Amino acid sequence: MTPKLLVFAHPQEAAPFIEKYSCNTLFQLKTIQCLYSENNQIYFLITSGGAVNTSVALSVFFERFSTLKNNILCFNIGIAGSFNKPIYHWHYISKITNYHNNKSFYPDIFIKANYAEIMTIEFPANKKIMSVYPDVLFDMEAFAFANTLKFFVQNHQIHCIKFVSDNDGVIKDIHELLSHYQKQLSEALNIIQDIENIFTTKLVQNADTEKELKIIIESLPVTQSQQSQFKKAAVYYLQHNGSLNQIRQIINEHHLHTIKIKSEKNSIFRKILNQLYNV
Amino acid sequence: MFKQLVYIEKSIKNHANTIQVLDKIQPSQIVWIDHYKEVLNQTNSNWLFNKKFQKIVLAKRENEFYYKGSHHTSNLGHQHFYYNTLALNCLYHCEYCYLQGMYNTPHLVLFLNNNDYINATRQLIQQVGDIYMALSYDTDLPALEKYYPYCKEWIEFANNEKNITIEIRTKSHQIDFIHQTQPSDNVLLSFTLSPEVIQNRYEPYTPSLEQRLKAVQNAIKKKFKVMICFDPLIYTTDYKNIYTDFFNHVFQSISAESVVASIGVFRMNHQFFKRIRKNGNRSDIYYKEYSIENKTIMYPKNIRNEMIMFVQSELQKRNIKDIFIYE
Repeated sequence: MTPKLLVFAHPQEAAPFIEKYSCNTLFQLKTIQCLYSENNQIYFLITSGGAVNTSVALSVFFERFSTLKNNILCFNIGIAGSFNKPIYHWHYISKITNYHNNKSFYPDIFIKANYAEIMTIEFPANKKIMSVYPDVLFDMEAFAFANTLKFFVQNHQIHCIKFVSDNDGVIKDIHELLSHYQKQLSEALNIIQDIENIFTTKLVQNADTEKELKIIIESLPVTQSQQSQFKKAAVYYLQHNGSLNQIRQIINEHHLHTIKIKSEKNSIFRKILNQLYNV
Repeated sequence: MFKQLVYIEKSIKNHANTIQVLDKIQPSQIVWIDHYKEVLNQTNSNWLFNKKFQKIVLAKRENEFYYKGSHHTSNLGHQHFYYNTLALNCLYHCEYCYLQGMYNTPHLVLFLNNNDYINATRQLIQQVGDIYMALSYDTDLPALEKYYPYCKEWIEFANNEKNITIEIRTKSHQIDFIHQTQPSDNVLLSFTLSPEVIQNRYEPYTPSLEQRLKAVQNAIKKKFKVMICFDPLIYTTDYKNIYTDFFNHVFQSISAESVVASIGVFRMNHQFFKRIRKNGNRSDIYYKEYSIENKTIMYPKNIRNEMIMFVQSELQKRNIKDIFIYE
């Protein structure tokens, strides 16, 4: 299962998702709340509204859980206004633009969905502003979410899903909105699931093999990045009918554990990778 | 290729060529952009992951309609050697290809103002005289002909402009444009061929050797000038056997008198090479021993010389008269 981080500005936006999964509070720091559903490997981060709060909350989260950054999928979820888009529908965001400097972030799109573009603005957008970009959604966090996350994760881990709340900058009936938001929750969950499915093709089918491979990798006297390179090479080797014993043998043949000089170690490491890829 | 979503520059929104290409792609979403570099050069992207979901970007080139020829390729004996970039990135995913290290993302950029390229080239010819123009270095143009008729339009231009020699290099077998155009002495169709074992290992998604040989035969039959490119030659311990069998096979179906050949061993800009390895390409090509000369990654000189001499002599044995060598 791929770990996921669902980021919301307000507790009301998070509530239906939290309700669906049983979670425990992980930490609370001033207005930032973080919950975790262990069974589903989902982190829920409630940031408070606005760009600065979003950036701070994400930084606090990844400062505490930096090991997650290589494979966690991050989603900004919440409500947004739009002049033309019909209300009470979910959209998967294909372009995130900062209203104030016109800079854009293009999420890596790899699923078919109901797409829309979004503009992030520092104050609530009114009807006049929205009418200039009638088909675009408006919110106050998405650009900060994407831009901050670029510091911690790669682009394909950054996603945004928004629910159209109004067409003129005014939410007329909050209860009606939240009721529709909850009713159509499954659409948002389907998008999350579709994206997760892309990442969950198992590299090593056998759990025991995976566990043993992990032990081998962790015993290697190499850097973390080299460990990750080695893992890829070893998986490739296993997928091409190599065995764990053969991997151990290759490592032993090269006496990697006894080499002290860094440059020599790097050169030997490359030879090991070469051997694994030439199975 | 992920065709559900297409990026288009706002400036060509109502351009006839844009509408024509969109008709062929039929995306469910268009994302309007100011400049193709916003998408192509987006930082922090995982190149290999995006290759699986490669998207099309339709754009208009504003300037730099041609470049001086690269020292990584042969000028085929021409004094004024240029290349242009009608499209960026490729449909195929050859593991030895420098494109993986050239741009931040693998998205396919199609420049739809082909006429501007042709006009700029016309002006260049007026300035310098005879030129040799390679058309498809940063892409595979014939493979893109289904979206936009680049090859057809350039061959028609070359038919009427004798001071240019154009080369269209491809791994594609889709060369229907040869039936819609006339051959002429200044149009050279170059087909890159590799032994099947090399192709299976390093050239995923490319047409098979048989399909490519059939395309070569068709081009010869239609009286086009044809060059066969054995480039890059990939070193393996038994390369002599592999390439001997391969040449036997190729020249059973193609007559040696009808073609010229070009050969070159694997080489790559050092920075691109480093970037490709950093991006996580797992191909063994990126873990072999190389020497670095003039900021270019190459096989060690003894291997290079041995391979070139071997291939050259094999081709000469088969009566190929014109052999262009990139050393």
